[in-house]
Amino acid sequence: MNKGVIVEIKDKYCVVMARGLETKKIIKKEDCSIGQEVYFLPEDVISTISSDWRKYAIAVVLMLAVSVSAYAYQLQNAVYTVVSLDINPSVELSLNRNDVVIALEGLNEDGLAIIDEDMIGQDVEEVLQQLVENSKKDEYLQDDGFVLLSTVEKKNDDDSIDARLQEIIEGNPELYAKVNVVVLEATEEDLDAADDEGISVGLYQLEKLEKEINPTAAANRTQVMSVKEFFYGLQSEDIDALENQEMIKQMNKKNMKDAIELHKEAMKDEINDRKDENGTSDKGNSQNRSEEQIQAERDQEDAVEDRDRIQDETKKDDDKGKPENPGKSNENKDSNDDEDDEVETDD
Amino acid sequence: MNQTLTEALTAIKENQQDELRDELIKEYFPFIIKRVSLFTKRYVNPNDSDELSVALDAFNESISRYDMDKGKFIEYAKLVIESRLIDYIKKNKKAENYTEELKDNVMDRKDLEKEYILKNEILNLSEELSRYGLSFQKLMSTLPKHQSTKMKAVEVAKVISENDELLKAFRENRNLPRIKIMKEIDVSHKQLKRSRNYIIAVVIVLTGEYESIREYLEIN
Repeated sequence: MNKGVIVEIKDKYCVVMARGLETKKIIKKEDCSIGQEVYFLPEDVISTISSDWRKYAIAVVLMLAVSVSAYAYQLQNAVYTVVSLDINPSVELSLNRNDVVIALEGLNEDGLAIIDEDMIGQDVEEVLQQLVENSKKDEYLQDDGFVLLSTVEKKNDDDSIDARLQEIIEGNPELYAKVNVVVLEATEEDLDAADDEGISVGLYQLEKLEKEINPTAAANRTQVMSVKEFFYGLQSEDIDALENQEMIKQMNKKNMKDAIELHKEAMKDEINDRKDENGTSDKGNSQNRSEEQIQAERDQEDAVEDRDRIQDETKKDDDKGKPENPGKSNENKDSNDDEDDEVETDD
Repeated sequence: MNQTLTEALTAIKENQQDELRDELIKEYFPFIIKRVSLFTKRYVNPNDSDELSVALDAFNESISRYDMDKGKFIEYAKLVIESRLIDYIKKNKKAENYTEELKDNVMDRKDLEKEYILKNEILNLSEELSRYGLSFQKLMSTLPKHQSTKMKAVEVAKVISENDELLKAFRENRNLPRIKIMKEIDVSHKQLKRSRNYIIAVVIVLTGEYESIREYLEIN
């Protein structure tokens, strides 16, 4: 027996709400009204499956369906391929043999934000499209940004997924031409290792690449790699080296170089802007200026994001290779120039 | 069961054990409700049902007057309840005009007011739920089945309703701000997704003007 209040009245039944916001269908009796409090018994409750024979019928049908479809299910729901997408959001997609997404997982918070359970059951092409569109919408991905797709073949021996991805990317230039899509390949062992570290297989592979291309930066690494950090830290010759890496299946060298160049310009502008701001705010305090400028420069170095630190380090590394080690003096010269600029603008 | 029932009945009769009597009435309360409901063809109102009090008296009476040669106790109690209810209706018909006046004027005013307020709240709640794409019926099919899941959902709902930021996001998006919630409370994505409708409903009830519903639903 239960106590409840009638909240809805239909032709053939009433909806009653009981303790803890539990709603139930009960049979209609005379004089039901909304807001009426009632005692109702289990026999008054209309179960959603209304009669016994229907229960049996459903059970039989289910059993048949289960046994018949068990085989098909295994085929459909076995994971043949894993594709991970990294922008900053990291998402891992599990595909069946028809490239239909049968499971997806956001591997970080941003990843959780761009996925949707409705994506399960859709073709990988549609899901990738939605993920990239969501990333753009939520401003994780800007024009010229990087999208990393990593593929792991679990059951197929061929590389059909790479061909499929190429098809997908080339098939939708409107979406993918504005960004840099890099496709790389990984093995099941890589996937397991990445799982152990709690990162996506894509980032795991990037860390490997970094060790190849830029060992010093890799050795100094304390945080988990990010896609932006990796790609924007690349020098032009790094990109050439990258292209020759075996795991890279697809990338557009020229676009990447342009994008990275643009990004560096943008960062430089930003640094200059900040210097200007600092300079003007110190107006009328000329005695302390030089000290403060040094301080400001230090601040900037701290403030510039990790990728730039890596960028600088790669620069130095490169410079070390050269005979006269001109890197340092160059840097000094640069900062002197900047100081001069500021003095001019101040005056 | 029958053995103990008979034993209990004899014990009550011989020793005047009121405690045992109360227990028996409590145990058979659903049975009494059922008799009344069958008789009136209506649901029994817990707050105000003359028929229920008549039936309770009748059941009490049948405990006192029952003995073994009257057949099964349950059958006997059925009979007594039914005949007392018939008596009540007959008597009531004679004094119909008088009682109706009485009802309208004094007795029921408070209850009617309560019912009116409750009705209004239910209609408002129904409307507010629909703004979140929900209805009482939809709620029914997506109700968490396990008690622990439900407790967790209520816990989450309480956290949302007490956190201004979460509440704001909830109302603006008409959906659960899942990621923000996960930062505030230890709950998985899956749990939030599964109990979504229920959590939304509880938050609405907790934060809106649903005084009577809140009191009634005992989720506070």
